Amino acid sequence: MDYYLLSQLINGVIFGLIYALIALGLTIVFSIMRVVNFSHGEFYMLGGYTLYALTSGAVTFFSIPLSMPTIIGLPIAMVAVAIFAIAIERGMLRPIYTVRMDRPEEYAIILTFGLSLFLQYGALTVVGPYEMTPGAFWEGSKHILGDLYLAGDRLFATGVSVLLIGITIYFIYGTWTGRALMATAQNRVGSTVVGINTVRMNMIAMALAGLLAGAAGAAMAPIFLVYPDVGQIPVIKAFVIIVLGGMGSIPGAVVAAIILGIVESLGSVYISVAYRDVFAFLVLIGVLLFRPHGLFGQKERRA
Amino acid sequence: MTLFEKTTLALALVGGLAIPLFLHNEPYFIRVAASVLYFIILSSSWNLLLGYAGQLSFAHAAFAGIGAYTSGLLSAGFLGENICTGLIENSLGFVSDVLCGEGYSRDFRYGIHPLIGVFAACLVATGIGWCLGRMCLRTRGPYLALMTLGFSETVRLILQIEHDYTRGSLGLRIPYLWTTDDGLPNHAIGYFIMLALTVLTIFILYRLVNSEKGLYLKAIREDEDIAAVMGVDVIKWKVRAFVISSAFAGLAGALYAHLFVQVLAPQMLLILEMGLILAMTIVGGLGTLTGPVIGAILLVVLWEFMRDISPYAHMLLFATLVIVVMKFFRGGLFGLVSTWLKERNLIAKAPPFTVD
Repeated sequence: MDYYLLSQLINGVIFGLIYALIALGLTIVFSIMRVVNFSHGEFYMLGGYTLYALTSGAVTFFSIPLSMPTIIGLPIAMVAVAIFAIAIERGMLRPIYTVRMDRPEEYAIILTFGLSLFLQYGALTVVGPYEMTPGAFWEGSKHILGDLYLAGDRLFATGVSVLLIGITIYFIYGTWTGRALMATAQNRVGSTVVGINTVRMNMIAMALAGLLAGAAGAAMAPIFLVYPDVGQIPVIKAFVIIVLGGMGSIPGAVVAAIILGIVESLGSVYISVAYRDVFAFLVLIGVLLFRPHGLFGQKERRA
Repeated sequence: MTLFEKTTLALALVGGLAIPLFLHNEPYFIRVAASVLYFIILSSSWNLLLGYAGQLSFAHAAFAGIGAYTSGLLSAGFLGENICTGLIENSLGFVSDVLCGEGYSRDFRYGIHPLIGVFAACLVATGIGWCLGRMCLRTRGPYLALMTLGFSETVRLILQIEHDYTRGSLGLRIPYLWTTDDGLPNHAIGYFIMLALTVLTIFILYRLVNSEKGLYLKAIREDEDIAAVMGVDVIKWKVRAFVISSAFAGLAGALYAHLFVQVLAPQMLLILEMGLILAMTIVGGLGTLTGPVIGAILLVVLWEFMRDISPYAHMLLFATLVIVVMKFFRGGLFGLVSTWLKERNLIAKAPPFTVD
């Protein structure tokens, strides 16, 4: 087989897995809370900044510069972003389900969009518009097969995504908490009746989204660097992925992410590299024209 | 309308007309006033979509950018020598000479007149708005918000990538619509044109919102199913609201570009610009005609005061305001004031859920 095409396919799948990590949190939050989190890209950004702060030695903690190994920084960044996500859920999104309000969807989107602007411009004010490079996870480039070489960091990010996607899928489909999450996604009232604390499920979904987005941001930081609007393009791709996979579908998100990765990789080779980020939008148009409920989504039921 | 409302409206109009008379030697203030008007048009027309029809679009700044670029590219001679040769070039040059006097057509000889460009911009924004609306308003859910966010980033990327035509981030120089004798923009006339467009926008929105059509939109906002049961063609009216609001955005973007912005850059399509429009509408008061006007005036003035602090400070403040307003008083500033005014019978009490 043509090694060139094969290497592009592998590259596409790798990008797809990385996108899947970002999109997974978004789709989980949507399936549980019916809220599109527009600040998801900023969770991703915070993951990268936390890793940078912990590992680069630029930040001091009681006059000791923090320069721990990146591999330890990654889980700490995940937890930090998850705690932040829980705080956001408590402070901002909880009223959607505990208070009667008009048009909760509009409220959630505007609030998270405002939060996204706040975090972006907060980052610009605090650390400035500079691109920062945290240390590498796995230095050098690795030989895969033929004349295909991949950067160690990219392989590491792929490994992290595969691992975390696996754990998430196990958590959702294999544990009781995961089943409770699925039940909440299917029918909120019904799951309250059988004794599931649905407000707690919201919190778990947000925490999961924070963990995944923080992991993605931290694992990708050595590759794509860290700057205030680093999350903008990835989150738009995640939006495309969750629409393509069907809003709220977990397997859909993973499959759609890999499809998008391959489309981008092949498109940038055979059509134009500059248009790499535009293909996602073309995919989105295609989905909305021909299959508005996505690959794995269920057709909406009219009340 | 009560007497109080009429007086306020008249005062606002007189104030708007009087600004250039007092400040005609201060181009800075006229420019700020004109940017207030630009944002009033954008946030009012965006408010038609979110505040009245309940549809959230993030592409409003993108439509203003599309309008500006359409008109800018056409009038800056995007068609170039290959197409605009011979008769067309001569006739276009002649039209430009007649409309703008000598001195206009040196740099932009292959372009059409900006005024025609502005109409073209409005048409293009309407057309794209219709396509986008048809595509993502068929299904319910947050598709419009997701799609428009992707759309505006994509348009920005394309404008940046195709720098052979748009000059990308270098900026596209476009002709002024109205210049003084020395070739500089005539700020006072530009301001009056913007003011006229603002008044027209608000008048059209007022008529629309207080008609039967406005009732359809409000019904869709409150409950799409019930609106459909009551015989409102939900998809048709959602698309119409989207098209109207994008047409206004395209028109305002193109006119403002030709009157005050001489160099177009893809940065005017950034999500940041959308954030400004959103913040003005939300802070002023969603779902009212007065709200966006108050919001635009207040935030642009605040922004000018905060330029000294840091280039990012205004956006940080506006984002905080959006979060606070959404969380604690969703009616916005006008919502706070209007309860006080309603108690004193100064403005009409019942929300106009009926048609006169």
